[in-house]
Amino acid sequence: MKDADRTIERLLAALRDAEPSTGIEHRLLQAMEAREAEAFAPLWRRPTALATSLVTALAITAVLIIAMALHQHRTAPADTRSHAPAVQRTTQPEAVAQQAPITPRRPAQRRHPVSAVPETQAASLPAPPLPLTEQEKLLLRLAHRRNPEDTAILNPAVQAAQSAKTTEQFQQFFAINPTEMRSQLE
Amino acid sequence: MASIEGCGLALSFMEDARPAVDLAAIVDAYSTLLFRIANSVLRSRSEAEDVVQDVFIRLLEHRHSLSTVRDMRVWLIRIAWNLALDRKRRKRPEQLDETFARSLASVTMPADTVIVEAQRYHSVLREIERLPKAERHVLLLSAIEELGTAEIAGVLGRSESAVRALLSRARSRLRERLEEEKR
Repeated sequence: MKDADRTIERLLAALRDAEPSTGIEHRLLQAMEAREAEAFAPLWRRPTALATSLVTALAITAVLIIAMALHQHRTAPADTRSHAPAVQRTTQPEAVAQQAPITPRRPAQRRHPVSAVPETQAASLPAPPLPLTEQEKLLLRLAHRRNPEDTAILNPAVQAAQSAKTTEQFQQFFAINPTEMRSQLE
Repeated sequence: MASIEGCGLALSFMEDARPAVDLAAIVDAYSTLLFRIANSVLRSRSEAEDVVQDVFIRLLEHRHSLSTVRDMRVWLIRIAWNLALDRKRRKRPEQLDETFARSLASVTMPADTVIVEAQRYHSVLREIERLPKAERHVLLLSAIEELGTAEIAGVLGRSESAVRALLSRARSRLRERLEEEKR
């Protein structure tokens, strides 16, 4: 037991007496000085920081350019398409000679539905068809099926003939035969 | 301890930022203590010195808020302790124990007994590693003579009585295991 205690004590003493290598204080102060100098140095004296800043700035610029291009493409897609053939035409030499005076560019068409309302209300355009009523829908369904009984309601003469025939059949069916009644009573 | 008089200029620019804190004096006063703490955890002199450097870099970064530090000594020890533990997590267990044990033995023992003593140190280090974490931490910090129970309690965030109980348990457990190993 005492031997184990002695070994533990010797090990702990060895840990306690461990000395750093000589000149550690000097090295520590130099490291701190270097860190401080790095923190306060201007940007152009720190190549890594400079490179990082440049890359960041380039990335931001690229993102901005892409965003602007996308925005432009979305706002005026029809306008650019309509101009494409005009550009092709004007590249011909004779077309250049006969070129009309340049008219001011039309503003890009608004995609808002408000612009379509006056056009639909104009007198020259026919009014949009109204939706069918329930009766009209029913008639349409009957005409499509072509069932003679159903279509008869559309023709009063046929309808009258058909109802007379039905009444006759009804009366025939329920009419009392006197000979049959007599035989049943007997 | 090496003199650092030659480094007076090194910190002259820092005096503008905080004249009340003499960083050179702090380095002189605490570098050896912090080295011993890191060395007991990491069992590597070079890594312990790296940790001490990291501690003073942290000190430099926080120099504007040093006035809020109540006990500079415990604050620095706690930083060194935590940095050393962080580094140790990245190491394989018992990675350099054999070399470390030999280097410890060679300082205190005559050359003919170094190998035997290094083997004993190695087995003690291995058993220390097998102790429960709280007991191991208290034992290692108690090995540093300059640290009292109150300071160990401050570093580990425990009460003084808990530190005393843990230390007693650690020593008896370690003793028992070493005896068992001998048998």
